[in-house]
Amino acid sequence: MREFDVIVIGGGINGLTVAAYLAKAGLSTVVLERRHIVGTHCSTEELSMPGVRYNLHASALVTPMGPCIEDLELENHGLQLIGGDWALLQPFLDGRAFLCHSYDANITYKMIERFSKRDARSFKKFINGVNKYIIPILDYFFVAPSEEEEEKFGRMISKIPEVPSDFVMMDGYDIANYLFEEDKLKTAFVAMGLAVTPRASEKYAGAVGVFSALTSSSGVQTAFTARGGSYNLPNSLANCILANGGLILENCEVTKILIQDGEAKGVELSENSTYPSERIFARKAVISNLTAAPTFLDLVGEEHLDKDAVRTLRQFDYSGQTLFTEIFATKDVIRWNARKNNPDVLDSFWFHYGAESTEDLKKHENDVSNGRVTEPVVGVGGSFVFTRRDATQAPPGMHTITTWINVPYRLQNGGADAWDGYKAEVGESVTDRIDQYANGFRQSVVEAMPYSPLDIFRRNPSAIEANFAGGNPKVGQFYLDRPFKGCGAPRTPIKKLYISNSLWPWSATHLSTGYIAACVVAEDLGVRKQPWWNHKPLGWFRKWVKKQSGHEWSPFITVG
Amino acid sequence: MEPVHHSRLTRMAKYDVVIIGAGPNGLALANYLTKAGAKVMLVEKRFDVGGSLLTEDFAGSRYNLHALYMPLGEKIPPYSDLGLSDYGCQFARPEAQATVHLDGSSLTLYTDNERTQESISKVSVPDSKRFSEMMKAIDSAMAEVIIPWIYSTPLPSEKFRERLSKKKSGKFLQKISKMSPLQVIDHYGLETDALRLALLVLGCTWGLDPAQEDSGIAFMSFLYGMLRASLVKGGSYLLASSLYKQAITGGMQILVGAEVSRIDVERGVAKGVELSDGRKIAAKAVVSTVDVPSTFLKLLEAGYVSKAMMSSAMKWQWDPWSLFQAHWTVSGKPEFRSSEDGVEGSLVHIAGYRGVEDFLRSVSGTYEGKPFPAGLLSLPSLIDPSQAAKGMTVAKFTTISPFRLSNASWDDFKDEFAEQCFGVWSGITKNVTESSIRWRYAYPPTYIEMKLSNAFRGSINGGAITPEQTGYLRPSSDCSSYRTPIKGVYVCGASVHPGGGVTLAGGYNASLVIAKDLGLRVWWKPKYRP
Repeated sequence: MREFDVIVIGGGINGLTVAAYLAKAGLSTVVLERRHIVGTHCSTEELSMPGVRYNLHASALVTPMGPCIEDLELENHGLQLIGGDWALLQPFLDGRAFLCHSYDANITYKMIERFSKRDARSFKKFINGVNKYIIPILDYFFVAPSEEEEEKFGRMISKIPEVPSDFVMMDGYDIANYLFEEDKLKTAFVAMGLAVTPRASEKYAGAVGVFSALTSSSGVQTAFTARGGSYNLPNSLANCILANGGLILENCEVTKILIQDGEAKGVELSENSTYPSERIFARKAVISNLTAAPTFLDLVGEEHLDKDAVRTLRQFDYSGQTLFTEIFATKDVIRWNARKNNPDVLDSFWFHYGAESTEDLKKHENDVSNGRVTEPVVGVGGSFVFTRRDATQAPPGMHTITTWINVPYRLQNGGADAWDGYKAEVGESVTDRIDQYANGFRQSVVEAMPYSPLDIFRRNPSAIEANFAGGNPKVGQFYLDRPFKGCGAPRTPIKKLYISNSLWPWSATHLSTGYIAACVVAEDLGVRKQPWWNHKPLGWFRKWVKKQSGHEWSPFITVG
Repeated sequence: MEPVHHSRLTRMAKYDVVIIGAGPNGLALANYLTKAGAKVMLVEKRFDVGGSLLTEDFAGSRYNLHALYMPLGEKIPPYSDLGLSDYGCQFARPEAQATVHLDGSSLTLYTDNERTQESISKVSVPDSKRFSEMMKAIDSAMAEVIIPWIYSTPLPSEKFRERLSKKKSGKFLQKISKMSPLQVIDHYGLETDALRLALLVLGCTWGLDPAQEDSGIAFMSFLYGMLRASLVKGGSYLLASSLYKQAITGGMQILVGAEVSRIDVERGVAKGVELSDGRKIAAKAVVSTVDVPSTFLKLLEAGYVSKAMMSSAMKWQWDPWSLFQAHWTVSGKPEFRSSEDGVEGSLVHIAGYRGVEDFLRSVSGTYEGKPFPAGLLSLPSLIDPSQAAKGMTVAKFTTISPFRLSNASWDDFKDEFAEQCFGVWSGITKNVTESSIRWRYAYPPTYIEMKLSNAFRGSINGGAITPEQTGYLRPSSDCSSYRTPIKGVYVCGASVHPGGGVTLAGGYNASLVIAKDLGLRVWWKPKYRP
């Protein structure tokens, strides 16, 4: 009989994070992963020519935002993040380009000035006001939701004069209009915000997205890649688990959480797993890293939940965070046309393209909500030229590029199944569109491969609608209501059962949901007080900035 | 050993052992030595461990890009020694091992000799008896002589022959050792073309010319392996992963994405290795699992390489051919044309050859740079459903193939040739067509070499299997017991006894030698004596 203190269901990065913290805290821990390898939405795969390492999923690693690198000493377990000076780029057809800096807000300021001096001053005022509170703001994202925390946060935000007092009634476009006049700048920031909250036109959530984009552009959410590809992150988490005596069992899909007298006792494995239908027991806790609906409706079972929870879960909204992926191997970096006005654009690792105006974005959102792929392509889901930072991700002389576009999961014509027949065409459109911003791109392509939302779902059936972040972070299923009212996440109505996904804030490489789950489980089990479990957000990032630039990191703008 | 910041790993105090290459042998070795108390550093050029134990996810369906068939499955000594069963490694061994499809009907061979005899008797009663006689002899010889030989250091030929003469299977082995694969099956008088075809394909595909004399024992071993083969549940990578996880928990350190450029030797004694980025790792012992020509000619300074080593590296014969592989994900479940009971559960489907003549023609064609669309097809998800996404079936096709084509490049030809191979599969089913395909991946011989730099010219076995490169002579008389003439430098891997194939025997055997040399605790009970 296999028995552990803690069972973690699902070896995605947040599941690995909980397991790493608890194993390091001395609990006997096992991670049960359905696939043959951990990482799920943070992986690196060689899907064609050997040596061309594709990052299909998490590509902008923002792990330095949080405390996990230092708490878990991930660099002792092989983590090698690679950063650079330039952050997000968005070129426009008129040859101008929005470009922000990875850590120097002054340089970002100067980039914005090229569009509008007035808007740059507005940006400066906002950033300098908000960033006084950036540490407590970040802290909020690494603490379990509670009414006290929410109130504290609300009071803090209301004290910031630069934040409009009615911002909870504003959407992303409203915030952009409030700060800027130049439409291209509004476009760039709203586009950045879509990576965080999918609908800029939604009140509150849309505003949160754009706020996030604004602080991000002052270096707070700097994106890194990792040596060899994104898989380096889950690999280092796995190494941490293993080195601390934890066990990882791949090909061990869980089909049931065993519940007795309202308490989670363990799990049962699938008949197709490595240990067919075996039961594994947990003395102290079971943590599910699957998303809300599969966790509660499939693994737990409706009979253990109250009617309201079941209703909410059955209607849990997974829309809005569905990405179509096109991966490229090329002979060259992307030679942006905009380089004529600013050669630094060639150094960018992370880019958007295709949205020329806020109208374009509104139309794009509308398309996505109505089952259509925007034509011409609006690529604001995030795109990356990895080899700009790390040459090891492709053979010498070659480059890998991942581009994401926001799409509906269910296509107007044919539903989700239509993706198999449609994806090649969408891939061609993506190539065409990038070529418009970088003439010669198409010729530099050695191979291109589409990976549709249906492919993503087949690869990870817990990601309903191929949602990449655990579920739409919209009002009604956000903060205390995530994933359902009364859940008390990361705790659940079932004793000893916790969740590390579909939890505040959203699942990403900052590892916040895993961290929050770990903190709460550890508190409940009396193992939270560890000498090493004491780091703050941005700790590692500050050290990196010092090494990279020779200066101390500062999120404030001092020029202009 | 405490984990250390990646930037300091190489500057740490001396390791006991540096192992070059995290393939199956390197991983096995790392485990045995770590448990024996050694401070081990494993250096791997790729970013992924496992070498040929490689599984990749394609939209939820798993493609095993290199090793798929595990000849000895859970019977390998490291499996029990290392408790791999608890680390997530389990095998699935289907009873139906190989089905040869011809003209809408089929003939299946099983793990169980009696069941196979029954199956063959449907087409030829005399052949069923002959086959049974042959397999009995093979089973005895494998158990009595060959498996122990695989899992121990090899003896010089005189001693080996002397020991052999005392074994029950001795005479049998001496007789067939001189034969070619064709001569072996003729020796037993097998007449049925389908049966002869199946045995030749199973035994020769991995690198034996059917007409090559002095390869009877290798043929017999491959045949045995392919009639008792398993899959690793979940994908071949799970075997590597079980080794990796245990080693990390045991304190092994690892560097991935790190290439060794030199083995440092000073005054005839190993000092450690140097990486291509200039970093040095100090160690008392260095084990190279990289192919022998590279080890002897690139990693070591010429002055330290003995005459026998130099000669063996310069004269090293590589495999006669490579393999072309193609993978598909199709929607739904295939239905075979053949009405043979249980055919869909067979591990291997041999299709595309109309008879032995076709196979022989494909071999000569391969020498001329012309691949032939016929070979072995496996459907892992029909045996192990975890390997395909819901509602899908995953397939892998393998065929002997020239590394270089006579009149095209693989880049230009691979997809077309994969289509031809797909047509072979389609042809033996009722329902598999182009429109069934949801994903396809052609993997030519050039990809084998690009992926595993050890696999020169797409080598499967780390070198040809010939008398001059077998046993005591593999790779050379002074290195086949894993020590080299250089103190502290060892070799292990496919180019060293006992050769290729997933047996973990190289790592297993080398562990004993190295543990003794370094005065480490031999915590396991070596299963066989040389």
